[in-house]
Amino acid sequence: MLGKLIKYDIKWINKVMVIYYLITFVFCVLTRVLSGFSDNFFLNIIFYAVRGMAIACFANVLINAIIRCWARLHTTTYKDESYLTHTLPVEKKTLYNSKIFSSIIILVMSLVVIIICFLIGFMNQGLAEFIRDIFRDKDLTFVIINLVIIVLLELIYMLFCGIIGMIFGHRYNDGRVIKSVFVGFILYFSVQFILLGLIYSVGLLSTDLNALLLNKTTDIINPMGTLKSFVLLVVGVYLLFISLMYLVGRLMYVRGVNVE
Amino acid sequence: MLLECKNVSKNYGRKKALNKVSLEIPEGRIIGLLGKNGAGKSTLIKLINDLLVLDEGSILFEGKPIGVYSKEHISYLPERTYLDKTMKVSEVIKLFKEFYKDFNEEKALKLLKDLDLDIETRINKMSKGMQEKLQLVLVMSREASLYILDEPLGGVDPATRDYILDTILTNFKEGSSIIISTHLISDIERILDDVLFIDKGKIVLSSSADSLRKKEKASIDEVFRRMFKC
Repeated sequence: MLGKLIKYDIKWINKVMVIYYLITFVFCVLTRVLSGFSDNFFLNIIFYAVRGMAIACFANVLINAIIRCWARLHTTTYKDESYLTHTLPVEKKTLYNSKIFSSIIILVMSLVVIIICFLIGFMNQGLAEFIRDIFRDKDLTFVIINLVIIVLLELIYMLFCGIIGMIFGHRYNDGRVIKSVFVGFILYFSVQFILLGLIYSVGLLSTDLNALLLNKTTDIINPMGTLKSFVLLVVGVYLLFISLMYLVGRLMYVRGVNVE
Repeated sequence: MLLECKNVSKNYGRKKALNKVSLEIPEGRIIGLLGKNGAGKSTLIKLINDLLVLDEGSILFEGKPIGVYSKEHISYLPERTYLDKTMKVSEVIKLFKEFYKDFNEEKALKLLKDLDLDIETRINKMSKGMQEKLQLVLVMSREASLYILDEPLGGVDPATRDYILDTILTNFKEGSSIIISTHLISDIERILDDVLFIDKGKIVLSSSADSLRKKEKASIDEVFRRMFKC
């Protein structure tokens, strides 16, 4: 049942996302094509405009991916379509999991599309050389891959803030939207502060990590090792908070919802 | 007993929508859940279908709390259109077939053919009336033990009312029960076995339709009008 639910969720979200993916792809292809005419003044102006649009499309894909995932949860949990969702012979936790897993799949998909489009539009000799250098160095590869994972975790974390806010806000009879947004924001900022505090506290225990956090990079004895520990710590803390938020959301969702 | 509600209460903030409602629905009966607008009919139906959280009391379907089992056996028609409007009719049929074991695809296709509805039509291209008929077809194409129809006649023309009642009566599974919630009593009273009058969140009358008619020497519609005269 979970697989079927995820299939329908992804299909719904992608009805719009595919259009954004295509627009991003088109602008990146145009960026690539126009980059070959840098000596022509007018084409150069168009090139800069198209490149700007391509970069804006990257942001648009990420923002819309999150918004569409929230919208899917909202329409199928509280609005008209919820009358079908909640009467399907499926456990509440399966319904919740389908929303979460389909959203994560969409975010991963969006990130992959962005990376591919970026490589299509912006790959040049200098960048290719830079990427080759990174992959020659195992430590650097490790850090870069973890940085991409951190970006993904940050997106998932934002997604969860919205989801928890929505579930919490919809427990009330009045002002559901305002309460949802308010709880989502409060959650986002408070967890960010806790996260920073936690990383700083751990940093106090390690001289190298402390130096890295305070930007005293010359004092670091083992810079790459410290950087690796740092990104691992951030990944760990994000995973911890995301897991907690997943469990809290599931607990509230399984208790039951009040449809509109 | 098919369905049992024991001391069911539901509040919306300070407003009491249902106040300690208790009722029992046996097998093989057509029951009219009758009441004015805002009497608590839809709230009770939503609670039975797990669309709201109970504040107090319990609801049991064949002795089990509301959950996956009850949803496998209750076919529910809400008062609003609940389908994803970007889907085609054929996709919705596929969805019902995937999730409901008791969904009879052949019956659904036959009923849709009778409506002259192309299954490749998108729901958002259909009129509201046609969307409601599609939902009714989907709901009545299930071989359920209990059909719950919330205001199935609300806002439709008399010809469509006849179509809806005919579809209900000719398609429900033998031995199953139907709960029809409405305030348009004259249209449905001929098909009812039992009636439940609900007012201000309480069941104020529960009786068989025939004995009520005999006792009051009036139609159920008249009894209702007398009882709830403003």
